[in-house]
Amino acid sequence: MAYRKKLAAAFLALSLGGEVTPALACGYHDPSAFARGALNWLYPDSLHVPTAEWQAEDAGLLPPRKARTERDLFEFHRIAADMKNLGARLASVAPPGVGEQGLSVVLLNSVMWTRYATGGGGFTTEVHADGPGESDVVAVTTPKVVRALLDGVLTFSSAEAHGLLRLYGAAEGQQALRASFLELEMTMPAAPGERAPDNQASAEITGSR
Amino acid sequence: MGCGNLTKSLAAGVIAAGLSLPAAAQNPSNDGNAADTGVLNSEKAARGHQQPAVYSPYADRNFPTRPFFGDTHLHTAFSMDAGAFGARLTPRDAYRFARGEQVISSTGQPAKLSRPLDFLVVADHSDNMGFFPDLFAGKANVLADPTGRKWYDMIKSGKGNDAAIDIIVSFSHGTFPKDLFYFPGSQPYRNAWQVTIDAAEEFNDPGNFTAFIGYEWTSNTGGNNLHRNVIFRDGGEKASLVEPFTVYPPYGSDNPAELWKWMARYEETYNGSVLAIPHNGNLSSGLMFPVEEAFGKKLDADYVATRAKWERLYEATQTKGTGEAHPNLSPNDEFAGFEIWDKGNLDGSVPKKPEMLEFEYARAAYKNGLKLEKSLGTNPFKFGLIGSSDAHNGLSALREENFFGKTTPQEPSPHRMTSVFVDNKKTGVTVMDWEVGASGYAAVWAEENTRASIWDAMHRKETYGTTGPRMIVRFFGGWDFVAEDAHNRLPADVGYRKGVPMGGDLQKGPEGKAPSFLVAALKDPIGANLDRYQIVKGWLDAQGNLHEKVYDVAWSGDRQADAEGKVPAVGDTVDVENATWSNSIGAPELAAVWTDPDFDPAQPAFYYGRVIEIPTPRWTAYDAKHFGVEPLPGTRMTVEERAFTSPIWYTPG
Repeated sequence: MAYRKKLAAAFLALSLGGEVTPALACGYHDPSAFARGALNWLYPDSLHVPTAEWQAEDAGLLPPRKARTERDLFEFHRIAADMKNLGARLASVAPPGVGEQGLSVVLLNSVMWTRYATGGGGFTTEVHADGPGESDVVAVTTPKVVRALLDGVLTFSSAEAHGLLRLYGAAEGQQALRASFLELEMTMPAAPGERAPDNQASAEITGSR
Repeated sequence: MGCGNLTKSLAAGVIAAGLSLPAAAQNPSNDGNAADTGVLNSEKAARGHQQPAVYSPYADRNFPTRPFFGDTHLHTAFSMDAGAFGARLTPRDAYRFARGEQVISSTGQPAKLSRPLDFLVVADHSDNMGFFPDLFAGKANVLADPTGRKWYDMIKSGKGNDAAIDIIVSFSHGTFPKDLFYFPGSQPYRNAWQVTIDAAEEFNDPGNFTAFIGYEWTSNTGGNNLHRNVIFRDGGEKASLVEPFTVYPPYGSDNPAELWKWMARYEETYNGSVLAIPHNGNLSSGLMFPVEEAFGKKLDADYVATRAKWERLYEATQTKGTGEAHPNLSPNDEFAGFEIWDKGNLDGSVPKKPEMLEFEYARAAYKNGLKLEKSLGTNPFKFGLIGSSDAHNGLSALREENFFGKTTPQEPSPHRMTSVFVDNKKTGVTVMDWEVGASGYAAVWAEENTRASIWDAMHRKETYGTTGPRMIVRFFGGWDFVAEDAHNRLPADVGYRKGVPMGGDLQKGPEGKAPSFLVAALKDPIGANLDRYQIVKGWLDAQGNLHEKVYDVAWSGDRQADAEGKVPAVGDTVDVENATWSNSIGAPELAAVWTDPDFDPAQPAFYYGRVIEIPTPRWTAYDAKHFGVEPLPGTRMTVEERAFTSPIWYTPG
């Protein structure tokens, strides 16, 4: 939260020539919007991920979306639990799965960071982190995609191929992460409609009307 | 000498000189001699030298014959707020999209217009223009500064977050490198402005597509919107001689009067031409159309004259609400409550009070303008009307079924119509994303698609605004229109001949005559039928009271006006669930001549046209259908698109 607020404040300050006032150029002053917008610069095309999500929902690659927007009081807890679960899975193959660098996952649209790292105390998971660690591989995705990965509905390679998950950072770190997920998926039942993890999903993502 | 006498003399001279005539006809006394040109005599020769009859009704036509549709208010990644929201499209991308190319939006979606626009103004905010893209692109001026280099390297190596934090700290501690300040006078700012100019120059294609050079001056003190878009008639050779006016001293001011001074300096110094177009009076806390004082100074003759000189148009409809009329101000106008945003100012920090409304809406300003003209000598609110988008994602996409939102977060997605746009926790002012309107466009009656021609038409106010569709609307006023004129398939022919077009003026007419108006409208070829054409009149009576009335002057079908002249509703074919409608009601075109039945030659007045379509699905309905999501309770799902013309003013002699 602190990172998000700092980032939002940074761009707010810059947009107003240093004068941080509530009055914005066009009336939109939700800090999350700034944090999300900045991601599209820091991690190019990261805002393509939510688009890929609804296109995947339309194509049946992901479970269908809910028709009604309902306030989910337990949403944060559910997502936090999923991120911890993901960490537990990654820990089973790390080290060297996650590699020398840590892995930071940022979820859209909330811009919630979770950091996974291997340190002196072993593998750690920090849900709701301030931001990515130095030199971390960064993964941009959504809670629904994380859930689909955990449920085995989707493979990592399929998620990446369909733009549901984008990686940024050092190439070696990205490869190490892919290898980690491949190793994980080898030990898990195949997702419905998919065989070996290196097979692409056959569904076309169209998203057209 | 009259034409007839001249030709007769010429004919006689030719005959007498024996020139150019067959030998047999050279005998002046030999009327009726035959030749292979027929029998020529003096009578026939005289007729031959008269002005030949013109067969083509279009020959020598010198008035605008088509409207040009465009957007005078589009932001790209060069605007700080647009970039901060995630917009990645540049001015070049915006022009490519506007002229009909398909692009990929900032959220990764292919986007294309139904038809190209004719013109576009990329009007990025003048404050800190261009900083965002330069930082993330590692521009030379950024890299030339050691701190800029450090930030750029951090970003590229995945430490962008650290860079962002570092930027904040340096800003707040006053250690932000001066070379990286994007204020007028700095090289980076000049570079950003030049990139803006270069993009316009690259895409300006006279005769095919016009790219204007412009910017938005963003006066926003206290959250009260007094924004203006500044549009140059000139090309880069003049626009690059200046830098945009901003709002922060010493480089600028938040007072419109100072902007006008900047405009005057530009014109005087460089012999250029600029105009300013305000928008969103509805978010100004009553400051947009003052009648007593502005910025602590009592309105005087100089203020009203200066404002009238520079502010020739008003953007009356856009994504943040439509500001033509308000139901509280016009309780008898059943169409006044269209896409109204009236909860507060721009950021919701000042809740709306009823007494603010009169000074925020165009129709009320027109009325007050009549009064100010009487007291101060000039009507400061004698502006024409347009629409434009204020989109902040580089995409001027305002059709309901192709609406790409106002900002990047509002690009098509299952969540966009259930999210919040403004939520001011202190005041409780909340505006939902579904309240953002898919509006509008500017329609300009110009002779040709060039900067000069379109700008000149804007300057003379021969414009109308639409809320998205491209209906064709004519509005002429005069003293001699007759009912039969409405049957003329060339309404402009008779309109320009007998009267003045939208944006024009009528002075004292013939004794005992009331002004008559020739109106004509054609539906958007791919859009909905028309419901009605109305004329809105406002006037000032002898007691100094202001009045207004809306007249239905042409409508579809065989509906009958009631005793008060109001025509019943046209009906509704919208299937909200499926986001469809049918053109089984309404009419594809409307035309009429209307004479003011309540005219008083002693009363100054204005008249403007308003054309209303039959109901159609709103973008929210298209979203609900496409994404299978339920709208929130209270979400507007249908819309009655419309166009409003610039007025014609009547001034008693």
